[in-house]
Amino acid sequence: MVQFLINLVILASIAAIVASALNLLIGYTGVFSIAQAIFYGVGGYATAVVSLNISPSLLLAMGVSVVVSAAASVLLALPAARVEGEYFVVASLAFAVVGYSVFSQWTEVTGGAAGLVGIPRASILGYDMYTNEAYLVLALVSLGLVTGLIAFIIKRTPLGRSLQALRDDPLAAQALGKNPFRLRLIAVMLSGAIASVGGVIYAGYINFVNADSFTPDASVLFMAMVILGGAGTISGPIIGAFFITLFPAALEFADVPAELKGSFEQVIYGLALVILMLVRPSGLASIFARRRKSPDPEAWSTGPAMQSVAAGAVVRGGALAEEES
Amino acid sequence: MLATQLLINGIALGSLYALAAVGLSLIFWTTRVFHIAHGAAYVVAAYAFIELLDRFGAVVAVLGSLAAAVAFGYGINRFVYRPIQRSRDSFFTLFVASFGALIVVSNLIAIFWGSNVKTLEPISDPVQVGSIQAPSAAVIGLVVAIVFLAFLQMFLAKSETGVGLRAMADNAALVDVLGLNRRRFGTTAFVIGSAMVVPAAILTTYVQGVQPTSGLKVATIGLVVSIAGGVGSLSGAVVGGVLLGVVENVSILWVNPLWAEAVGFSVLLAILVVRPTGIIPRRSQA
Repeated sequence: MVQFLINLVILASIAAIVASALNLLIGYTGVFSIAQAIFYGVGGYATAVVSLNISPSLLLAMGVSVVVSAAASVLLALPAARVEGEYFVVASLAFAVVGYSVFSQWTEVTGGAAGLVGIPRASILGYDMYTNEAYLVLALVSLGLVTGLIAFIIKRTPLGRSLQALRDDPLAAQALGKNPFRLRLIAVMLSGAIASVGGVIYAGYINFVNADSFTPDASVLFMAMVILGGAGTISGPIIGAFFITLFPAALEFADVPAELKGSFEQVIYGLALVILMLVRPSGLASIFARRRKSPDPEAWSTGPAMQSVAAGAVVRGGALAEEES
Repeated sequence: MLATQLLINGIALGSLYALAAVGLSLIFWTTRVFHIAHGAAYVVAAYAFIELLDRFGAVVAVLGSLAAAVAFGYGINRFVYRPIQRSRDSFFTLFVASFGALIVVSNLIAIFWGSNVKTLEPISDPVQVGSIQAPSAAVIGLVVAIVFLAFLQMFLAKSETGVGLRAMADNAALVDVLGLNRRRFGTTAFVIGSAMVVPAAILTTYVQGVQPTSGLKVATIGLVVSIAGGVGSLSGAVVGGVLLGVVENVSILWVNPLWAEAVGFSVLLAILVVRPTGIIPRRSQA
């Protein structure tokens, strides 16, 4: 039972890392991507290749994954420069289909349908993490670091404010001298790099990777986690990821014939998605947000970020005017 | 010779894609619902047809399949999308609900009919012209696609409802201002759009078979093809669908068939990047 729970929490934390990375795009930049499973997959495969051929060092695998994933994400940033909103959703969906095909057919690197097996558990600074408990710690610490990093970027850095300004009003952001393409490129690369960390942990934990984990369905599921939890909130994707991972597991104990269990779980879980969207369309995190009387994170049009960016421009403009006078 | 055969295969497959896409395209451009559950209407129609065919014959099966698809399309709009739109008209909220509905339907079908591929006996021998041949269902598909699309085009161009639907695709808020009933047009779009999935579902089942997971694939193709084909244009969806079918088949000349899907979607993705308004954009927006 304890092992069962540890397993679930590790998987949920991994999902939360990937979903949080996606939230950086959907929630904070207004780039509506549903190709997140691809970067998760790039992390998984990169870790597999590095661990099997070079060394099981966690830091090495992470470094390689982050670099490769960020590079791959440039391909997704290309359409992001040209198309917006729901058109980009479709472009990213096509990207997810193509990426999945590459995972399942590029046999030389990914092992094709069979995948790559026998990935060793990672070691960090000479300490081998053979136990599930060690991986639990790794997953939770990584989730904490990723959440902290995203919160820091969004709340404390000029980049974070620019991204939100771009989300709230692309035209105004552009008028204030922000380059939308550059910002979206940075956001997509950051998101891809962070999502690959989830893949790094997953590959070492499960010991094998194949394309089944990185299907277009999985990409849509990560999007569902973000929306279900609440886009544009730090806690939202984490709540969504834990809900979507733990909820079907809770049905494990239901009294259903074994061969129908999978489908039965899926039905309940699909119904939950529909019902939650009907009763709580702005996400589960809004339950807590409302209690604390914080501003509605979904009210994008009047975002404070735009005001602060605009204020910065005014200050600079003012300084300029003073110099001239 | 091989090239010609592949081209024919591509056009036949592509016209089935186009039929599946055009209904979704109509729904998407008028209501702006990212209706991925269109794939559920597709599998519902296909399974209803298979179930009724043996017992009651083809006519009842087609009508039953039509009724099932329309009931699904009407129902999801009435009981899921519209209540959500009332409280919060957000793109992703509707998308997640739609995806949830697709999961529910696919898995209910898997529970009752099993998750294996279901196939039907070919309608008749393949059609043969010289050394080129095509499955009869694919030839029927091409004819049905042309007839259906011609009718739809005429309906949109001439009838009052058709003009209303086009107006909604142009600017939904203005339809409200003019005192027209946007909700009624939305219902019409869902009913017609869902009905249009029926020929695609039946004929594709004859050619390739169907399984519960087919829905997601069909909806993905429909959505990508609709937008890459042309923003706000139904003929764009047709061109996009046929193009995808042709590229998937003809690419086999140069690449391993396993890569055909990746090549097809890469071409559509490239079109989106190079020409964000799609292959055939609406003239009013160009």
